[in-house]
Amino acid sequence: MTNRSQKPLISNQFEIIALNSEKIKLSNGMPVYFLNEPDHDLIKIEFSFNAGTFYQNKKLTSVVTANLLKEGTKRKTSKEISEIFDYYGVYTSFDPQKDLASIGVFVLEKHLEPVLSLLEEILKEPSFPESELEIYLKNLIQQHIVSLEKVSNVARMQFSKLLFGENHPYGQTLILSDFDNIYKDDIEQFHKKFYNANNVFCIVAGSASDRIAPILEKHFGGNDWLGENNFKKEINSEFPIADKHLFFKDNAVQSAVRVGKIFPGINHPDYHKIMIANVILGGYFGSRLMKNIRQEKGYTYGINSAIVSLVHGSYFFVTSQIGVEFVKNAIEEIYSEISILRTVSADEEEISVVKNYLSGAFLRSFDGVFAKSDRLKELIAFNLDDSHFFNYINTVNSINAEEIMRVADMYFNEKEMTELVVGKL
Amino acid sequence: MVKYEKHILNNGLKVLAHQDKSTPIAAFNILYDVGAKHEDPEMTGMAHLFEHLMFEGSSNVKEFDTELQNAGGENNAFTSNDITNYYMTLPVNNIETAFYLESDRMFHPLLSEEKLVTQKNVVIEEFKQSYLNQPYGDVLMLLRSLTYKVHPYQWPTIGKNIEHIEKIQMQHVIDFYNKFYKPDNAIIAVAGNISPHDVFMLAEKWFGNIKPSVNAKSILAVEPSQIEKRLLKVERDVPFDEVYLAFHTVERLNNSYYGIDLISDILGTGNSSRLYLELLKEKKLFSQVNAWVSGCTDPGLIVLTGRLIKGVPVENGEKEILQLLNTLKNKTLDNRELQKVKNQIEVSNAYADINALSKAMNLAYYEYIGNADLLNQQNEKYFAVTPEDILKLSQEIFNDSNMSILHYCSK
Repeated sequence: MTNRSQKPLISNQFEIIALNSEKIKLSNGMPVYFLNEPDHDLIKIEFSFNAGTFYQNKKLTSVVTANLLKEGTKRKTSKEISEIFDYYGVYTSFDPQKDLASIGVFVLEKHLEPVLSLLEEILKEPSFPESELEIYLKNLIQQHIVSLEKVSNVARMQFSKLLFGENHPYGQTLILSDFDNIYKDDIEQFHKKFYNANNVFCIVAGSASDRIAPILEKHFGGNDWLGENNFKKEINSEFPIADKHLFFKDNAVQSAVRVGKIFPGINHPDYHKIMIANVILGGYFGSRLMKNIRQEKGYTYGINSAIVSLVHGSYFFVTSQIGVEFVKNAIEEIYSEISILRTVSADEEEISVVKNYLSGAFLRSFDGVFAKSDRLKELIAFNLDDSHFFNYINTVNSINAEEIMRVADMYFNEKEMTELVVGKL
Repeated sequence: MVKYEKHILNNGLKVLAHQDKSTPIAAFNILYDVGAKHEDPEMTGMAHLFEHLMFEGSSNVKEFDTELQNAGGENNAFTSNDITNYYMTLPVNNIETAFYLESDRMFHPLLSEEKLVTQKNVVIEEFKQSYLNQPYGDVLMLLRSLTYKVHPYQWPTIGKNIEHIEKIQMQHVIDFYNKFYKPDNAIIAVAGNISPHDVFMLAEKWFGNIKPSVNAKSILAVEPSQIEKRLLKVERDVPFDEVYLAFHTVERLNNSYYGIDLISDILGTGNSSRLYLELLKEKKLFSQVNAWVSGCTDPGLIVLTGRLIKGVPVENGEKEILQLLNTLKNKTLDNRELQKVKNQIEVSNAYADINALSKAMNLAYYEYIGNADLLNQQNEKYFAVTPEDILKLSQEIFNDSNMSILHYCSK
């Protein structure tokens, strides 16, 4: 008979994984990184351009450019393009973020040649037809109007503005008239400037590099799409002073709550420690915020905190949707948990659970070749190498309660937090 | 191809094991054959609330999540109308912790009054977040009660309403547990770098002594054939109108399922699909379109839907979708279009084979619907569908008397 009170031994000593990517340069200098995993037929190929919203001078330019690439080229209509991608069963992703705009395909190796040939065409020779731009914007504005009906979306959009300020590229918020102010010219110019072989890196995940490299060279290695890559952007914006904000929404049964502030970025020496302090506060299911506000009080279905690292600025925030009758209490509890993080030393048991959890989570974030490609993209975007991961795991292993309290006190001051409630207070 | 071995314990628990040497992470999935469809119609939301309570500790495990996190693991669960499914991933060296935790909460979960009260609140907040506090949040609820009049698919897993969740008492919870949370009503699947032999040993060690159920399986009401067209019009505080057309189809194990699923892809998957190309791009009637099959075990639905461009009457949207369906009924599609949707299926099946967790989840799921071998037969089942099958199925399904229409309009 099994003795149920005798729980299995656990180990938190795992082999640290290196990404083992292989880097080559095509003839025109474009970097390509390969992550090989021989047993998969499916390959992910992703081009990441420095062409996110940070680089646009007019709102919507980055998003519209990325999404219209597939809506027509000098030789093919939108319909022809979608029929080819769909015929080969390709998953495409057009993903303009704040820093990078990533264009990716998941494709079976047997269909690689026709798919890459089409990808070449849409990246190099999009024609951005007026009629397609019109349809796209019309649908996008409807989507935007619907998303404004969700308190969580409004909170997400407004919060970056409150943190960074409207004049900062990360603080831009869409208003409806922006949709009438974007033209084919804007898109063409943005494409011409930012979508070039010198402003991109490519990650190939899932299959042997020796077969794919020549195909990439053929389609993307030429001198027909060279360009600049050193884009300086003057940011003359002071961050707004922390304050409390309410966006009233009459029919809300839950309010979206955000509390946060600007934080040190990924290159800061305390970065890993701050990340660990954040996990204790709200970064996993067993976090203090989750335990207190969901598991003990039942005010919400979920509450989390996170640190968002961007190339030109980072921030920390707590986020939740909370029943309107609980909002005041919940916000008090959020501040109280932040204050405890700063002033009370965590007990050994909690720290040990967090360390073990983070070691496992670290291992999990490398599970499978597509997960690895996301980690690699992160390194390249921030100009880091594998040592970033080794430093992180060393910090996880060596951090103690004192250090956590020190960084918490230094960076998580509740008086410096911006607070936003969308709904009712 | 997901190779696996299967072992059935004396108490009826089925265990499937797939060895994957490429990853240091192992996945443990346990599926209970109980979902919202097994609930008392007057106390819906029970299966999902019970899923929440399963995380509240068991006789030897004070805090489920803490124990798992301490082993470097992460987990979650979902409840559907058919099943309740719990899954976790953790470093393979700590895989025994998964057996320990899951067996303890199958054996003896700690069900306290206090935790019941809190989790009822959490679920009520979830109800508000997912169904009330967002535009179009109640669409699927309306569609369920419109299409199913007898079968319990008529209510969503969260429950028919908040009152149902509020009135659940401890005795109901205990009865529910006693009836459904038994080894002979569960399937385990493990994927990771561990041999099937070791998986079976651990299963025997931790689950072998748990007693099977004594209750006979409940028999569910069968939905009678629909005999006339149904139409529901609602007005809500939303910015744009939507239209939904739903048709009854077949059970998951029926061979026609594959053809019907492909019909939904022809209509709604990808920018070259018929709804997208003809109604969104060419006629500019909709700002988004979609088509799906419900994929449940008992006879399901195929649903076609679109959100209309401001100013386009919802009746026009409905008429145009019906016209696309008529084309499917009257004209055999060409091989290239059929090949296209088959190629899409092939890629999505390849994608599902990538990580340990999706393999473990799929093994358990296919064993539940009939036989885990089905997982490896999916491509061939889809590839066997012919243009004539699509024509015949369209003619059988897309009829007025089998149709439910929802006009979801802005106030």
